[in-house]
Amino acid sequence: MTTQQEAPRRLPVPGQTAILLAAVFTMLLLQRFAWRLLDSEALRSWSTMFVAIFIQALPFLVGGVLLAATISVLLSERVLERVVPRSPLAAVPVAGLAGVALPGCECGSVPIAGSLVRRGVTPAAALTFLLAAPAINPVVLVSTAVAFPGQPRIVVARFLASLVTAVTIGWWWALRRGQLPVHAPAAGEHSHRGRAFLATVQHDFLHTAGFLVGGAAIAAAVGTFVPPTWMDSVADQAVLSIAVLGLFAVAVAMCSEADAFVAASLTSFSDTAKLAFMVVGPAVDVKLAAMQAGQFGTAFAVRFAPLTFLVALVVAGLTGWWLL
Amino acid sequence: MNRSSQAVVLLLVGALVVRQAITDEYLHFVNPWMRSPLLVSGGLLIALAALHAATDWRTLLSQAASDDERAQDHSERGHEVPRAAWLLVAPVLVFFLVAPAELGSYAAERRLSEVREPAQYVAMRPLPPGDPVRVTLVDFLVRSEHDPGRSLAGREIELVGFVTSKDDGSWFVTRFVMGCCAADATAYRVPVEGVAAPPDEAWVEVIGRWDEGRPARPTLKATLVRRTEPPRRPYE
Repeated sequence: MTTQQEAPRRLPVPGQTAILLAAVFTMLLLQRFAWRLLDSEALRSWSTMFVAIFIQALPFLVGGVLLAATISVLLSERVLERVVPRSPLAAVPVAGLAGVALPGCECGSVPIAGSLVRRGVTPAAALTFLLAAPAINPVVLVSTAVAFPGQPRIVVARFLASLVTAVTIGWWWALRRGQLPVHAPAAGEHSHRGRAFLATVQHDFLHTAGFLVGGAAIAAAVGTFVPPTWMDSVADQAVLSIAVLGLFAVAVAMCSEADAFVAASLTSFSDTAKLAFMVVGPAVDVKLAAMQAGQFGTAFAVRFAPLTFLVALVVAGLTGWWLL
Repeated sequence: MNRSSQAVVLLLVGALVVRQAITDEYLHFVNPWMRSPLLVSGGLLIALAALHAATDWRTLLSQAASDDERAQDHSERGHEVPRAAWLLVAPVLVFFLVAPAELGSYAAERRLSEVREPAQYVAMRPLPPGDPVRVTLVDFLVRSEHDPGRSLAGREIELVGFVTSKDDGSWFVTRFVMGCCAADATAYRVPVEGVAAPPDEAWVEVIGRWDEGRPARPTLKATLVRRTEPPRRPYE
């Protein structure tokens, strides 16, 4: 045991970081060579869109992470627990609306939902909160308004559709008396507030920004390489285009703070299809399903993800038909 | 991802964003008002990396026993970062290795758009006095197709954009219009007749007159083409 613990301390720079730094230096040295090698119009178009989505979303992500950390450090879940009524049917809409007050991205709301259940909040309300918080919080609504300038109806439609989706699923869960198995133990409490704040910010940022990069890369690839005629042929069909963008939202797993910008970039699609993208995305995507499987078990995730997808799609379709 | 790699990644991303905001390069990707949000968020990421490094350094200096280390390991377990965080290196790699610039003719071909008719109540303002008058491409297209007052008629017009061309030799002055970021940009183009085509992707100022006979196909009958530097803001 002792010898094993001695070994890493002789290398003050851990291997991983050394490799990372070496890669960065190599990159800087080979930069001019790489420019010539990677000089393809398609690649440059893709990289412009990729960097653009990333850069546009980044300040919003940092803002969201800061806000979420402030609230989770200063305002404990106990405040929420006090507000939420005992009766599940009454608790569900309250939890949905509480999502407005507790901004956080998808990744943050999964552990929060788990801790709510541990502290005695009814599972249906916790699930409603899990679905509502990333979809209708102020940061998301503001970035949606920025992404769709002069189209406040889209912001309203997004708010309503997401809230209705969350409450519908919550009530369904309450009526079926569904449970929410919680496996993960409580996260270690930090004694120092400032340190807890910084740790939360850093953790949330790295957690979500990585997924943002993946989503931006895929979205930029769709924008660059998918032939516009093909996109248009799907975009023209009202029902199919909604389903396609819904599936796209599941596949790209965007952060809810950033997805409005991607939705706005899908210019050939109808506003209703874009709405479906923005309602499905924060509710269910591949990374969320993975996180839910980790937190609540695979059996839960396998049932919950398709249910959420269908409800979100139908609600978005109806809301779009009504409002847009 | 271990702790020091986390700090390095934060620093890289923060530095990339701040660099863009300082050098005007961000205008190739996003709107001008994004400058301060980029500076602030990039600065915060750098500060976070610095604080992180300082904390680690202090721990390293005061490391009296392995107890500390073990305690730290333990407290970290709640903050494990997924492998997806490594993807954050990708924008930095792409930025340095591919050196993305503003969108050009390749994207323009795939993202061509047509102007929509302005709302009825929007009265078309007269063009400012003095010839040649510089108008945006979208303004030119809207006025050509949808202006009952024919405000373009008889005026000398100046358009700025980059060159795209077809195989048959016809060419266009082209410009992207951006809503939010370059990923949602759409291209508009105006056919230019009467002067030889400059090379593709070259930025030009074109001076000429509106082809009044064909309002449905807005065309500029050019008298002069000048090569220019790419504008600071490539998108309209």
